[in-house]
Amino acid sequence: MKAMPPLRKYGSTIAISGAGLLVFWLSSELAATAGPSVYVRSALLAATAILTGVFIQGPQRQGALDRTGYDAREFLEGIPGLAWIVDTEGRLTKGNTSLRDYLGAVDTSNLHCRQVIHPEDFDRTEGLMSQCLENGQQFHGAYRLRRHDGTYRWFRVAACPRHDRDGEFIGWCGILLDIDDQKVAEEALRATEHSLRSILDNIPGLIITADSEGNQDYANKTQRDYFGPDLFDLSGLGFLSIIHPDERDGVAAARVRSIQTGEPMDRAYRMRRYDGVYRWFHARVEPIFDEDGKVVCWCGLFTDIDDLKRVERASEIKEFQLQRLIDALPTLVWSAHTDGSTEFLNRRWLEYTGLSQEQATDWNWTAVIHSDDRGRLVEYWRSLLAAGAPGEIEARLRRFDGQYRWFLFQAEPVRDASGTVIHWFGSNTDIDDRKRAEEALRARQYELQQLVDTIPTLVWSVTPEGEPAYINKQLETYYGRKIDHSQPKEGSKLDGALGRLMHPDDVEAVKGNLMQSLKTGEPFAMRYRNRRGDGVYRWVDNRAQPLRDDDGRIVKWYGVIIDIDDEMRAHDVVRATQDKLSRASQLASLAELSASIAHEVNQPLAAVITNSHACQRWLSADPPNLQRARITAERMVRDSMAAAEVVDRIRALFKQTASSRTSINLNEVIGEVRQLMFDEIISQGIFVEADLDAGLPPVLADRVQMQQVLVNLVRNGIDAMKSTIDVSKSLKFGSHRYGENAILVYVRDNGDGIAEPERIFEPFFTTKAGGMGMGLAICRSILESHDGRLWAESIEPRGTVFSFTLPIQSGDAA
Amino acid sequence: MTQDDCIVFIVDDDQRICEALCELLAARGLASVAFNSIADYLAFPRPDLSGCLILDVELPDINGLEFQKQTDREQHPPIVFITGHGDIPSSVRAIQRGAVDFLTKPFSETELMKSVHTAIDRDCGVRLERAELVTLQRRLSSLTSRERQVLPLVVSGLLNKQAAAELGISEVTLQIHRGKIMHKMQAASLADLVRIAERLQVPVTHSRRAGTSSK
Repeated sequence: MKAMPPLRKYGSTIAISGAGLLVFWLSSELAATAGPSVYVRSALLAATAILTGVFIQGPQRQGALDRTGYDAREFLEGIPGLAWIVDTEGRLTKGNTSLRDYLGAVDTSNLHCRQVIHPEDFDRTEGLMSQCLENGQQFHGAYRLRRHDGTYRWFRVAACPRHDRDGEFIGWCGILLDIDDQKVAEEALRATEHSLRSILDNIPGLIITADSEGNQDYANKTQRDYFGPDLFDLSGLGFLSIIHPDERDGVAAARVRSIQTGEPMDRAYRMRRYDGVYRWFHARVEPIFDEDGKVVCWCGLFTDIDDLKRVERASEIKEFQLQRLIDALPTLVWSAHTDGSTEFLNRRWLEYTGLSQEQATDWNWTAVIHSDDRGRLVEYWRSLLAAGAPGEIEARLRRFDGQYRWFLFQAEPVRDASGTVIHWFGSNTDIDDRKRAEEALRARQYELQQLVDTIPTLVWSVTPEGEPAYINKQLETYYGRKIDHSQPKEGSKLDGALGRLMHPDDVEAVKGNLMQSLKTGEPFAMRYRNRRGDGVYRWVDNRAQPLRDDDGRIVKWYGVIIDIDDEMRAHDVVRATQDKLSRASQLASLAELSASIAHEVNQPLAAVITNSHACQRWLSADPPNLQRARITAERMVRDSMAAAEVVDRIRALFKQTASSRTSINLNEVIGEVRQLMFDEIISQGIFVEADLDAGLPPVLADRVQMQQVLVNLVRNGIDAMKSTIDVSKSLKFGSHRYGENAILVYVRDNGDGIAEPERIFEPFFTTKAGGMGMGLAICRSILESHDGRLWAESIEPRGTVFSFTLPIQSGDAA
Repeated sequence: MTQDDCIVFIVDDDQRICEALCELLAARGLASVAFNSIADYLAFPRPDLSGCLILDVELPDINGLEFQKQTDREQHPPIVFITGHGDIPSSVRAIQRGAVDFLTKPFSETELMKSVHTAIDRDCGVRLERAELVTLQRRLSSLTSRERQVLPLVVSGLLNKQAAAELGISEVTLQIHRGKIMHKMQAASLADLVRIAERLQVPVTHSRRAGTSSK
């Protein structure tokens, strides 16, 4: 070092020391605000600077003292710390009083550092110091120093290496500041931080902190575990890569907004777990402001809400389905508030009415109710609301196209647990078609009722038990009374009714039959005499059938009564005619008759002849056996008489005297014969036509014989058509005038025709397999006895016509 | 002209006819029994005499024609049908089945008696023939077995020598057998024996022309 001017020489020392003092002062000032750590740092720095200044100028201490007026020793003693100087070996060469006080009464001379520095700290400190020495640096550190009472306290140490004038290292000088209390506080702080950190790490949520720009700088263990070891790039927008693509853009935008505005971010999104699974998180990121209101950093908490979300989504789906169901219901569904105003209307309701949800709010829904029904419906609705009772009403609801249709409005209150009505649910069902059908049905029923009451037949019905249920208007009029629905005093109503309404002779039989039918379910059909309202008994035909349900049980009996009194009387006449004709009809089958005649006559005849031969024999015998001859003769008489009797009987059969001839209209006779032969004609499938002259004059004839003739001719015709299959069988009756004084009647068939029209009238001529050939012969003889004629002709292309004539009755002959 | 060895059965439901027929047959010297139904007739123990059955077609229990069809011709005398009203087809059928006649009431005495006699004669013939056959059969059964062997050979017309050779016996022995056969069968000649053998349906086993032992 070369010689320097005195100011410069000492100036540096002064400057350094001054600076040190200044710093020292500042540090004490700062310590009040910035805390002990800053103070310690600053104090140590200041003290070291002072010491350096002092020790640099050490050899010229005296001089320096002189010049500054300040004793370096005093200064050293005044330092609020332990100051020391060691030689190269580490032996203490100097120490201030504070140091000595601290170390206690030990002899400080030749005291080696090792003796007072905590063994655990010595090697480290020594190593660091030698390192500093090599680098030409000051040493800063901390170690524990043994106090006089043997306890170690932490000290902060600052030291500078010392060099002599030649630049030879001669030892260290340094200063110690007691930081043991601080150290303890630091430990406590560290422990607190550790526990905080473990709390953070164990919080079941992902916690982050980020700087004011949003760059993440901390992640707790939960988060690390969630994202796995391959943690995403925390800086910038790297974290977006783990957000579900669906939410990524939204999150990015929200982040930018938050950073710009300083607003917290609060949203839910999915983040990818280490295994690739996305889970829903609720993210809440809050800014932390400094005193000026500037964002210092961000901290955020991410809560796993995936399970919650799942439940939520399930319920969402359920709700969605419910909504769809309600909308899909083929009926109009609604809910209402307790005051009757609209709460909800399903899609169909809206579609049907064409209203929007808004248009139907409050009580506006009443606008689509038909004006005729509105008052009634609203009144009813209010009554339901007041009573809190379910109900239904029919009203017309306007469709979007303006058409009104009938609906059934049904409402049901919904109650909470305490029973208070909280909602009303309801539906409107389209019953228009049903309503129309009902109306049509009613109309139809009315029509049927009218019909039943109007048809000229007496209609009645009784219950399965036989109680009178219904009689139509006609029957009421007929009987002159209505059904008496009051219970009779004794017996059933039916008994009473039967007794009143029937001929006394018929009551028992009718009752018996009716009861039998009611019991067995067989149709009832009976003819009897009914008592009309005016007391006249008339024949009726009463028929009833049971109506059964699907199970076959009788539901009701329905019957009709037909007045057949006139018919019955007519029938009596016909029956009388039939009786008369019964002999004639026997005659009609002449084949059998003649066979039986032959037998009847031949038997006695054969006996007579045989007896006569025997008689002859007895008489011609020699001698004649007169006794036997007499016997045989007697027998001959007897048998001849029998034969005569037979002949008489046969004659009686044919006997119709002239006195029975009356004036008759043959058209009537034709009608009678048609009726008599009706069954036979029908059973053969024969079509009958008639061409009768309405002005046919009467003839004097035996009615029965005329019937006999016609029956025979009809039979002939039917038989002639028996084998006819290729054309439809037809039989035609005709009558007309025949010349001036006669009429002609014909019967025409379209059968096979006849080969010999004249021969068929000969007795015993027959073309029939079983016939004797008497019928036509008798017919001809009957007509001839009436001065008439009977003949047959074949007609083209097929068939035969039998015609007969009869003279017209002359005026005086009647 | 009385015939004591014959009888006429009458079946007719008409008692008057029965009476008259009985009377007429009695007047003609013929015994008769009358019945009103087939059942009565069948129940009657008939004497073993040649006779005739006068049968009415229409009977209460069974039609006469039907009865004829059902019964064996051998068991009843020849039938004369009588009927109230006959027809050609049924009469033809009746005759074909062996009826003597088919008479329609009223019938003449001549007709009836002719039919009755024809019937009785036919029955007599049948009975005679039947009786002869029985006699012949009895004679045939009296032959020894050797004689029965010889008989067919003799009636076949073989010479004694041929027949003897056939049986492997001497001609003399054969002649003895032949003599015994002629005696036992009461045959007047060989021709008579041949006729008897024919009636007894003895088989002719050998032809003279065919030589010795042809079958």
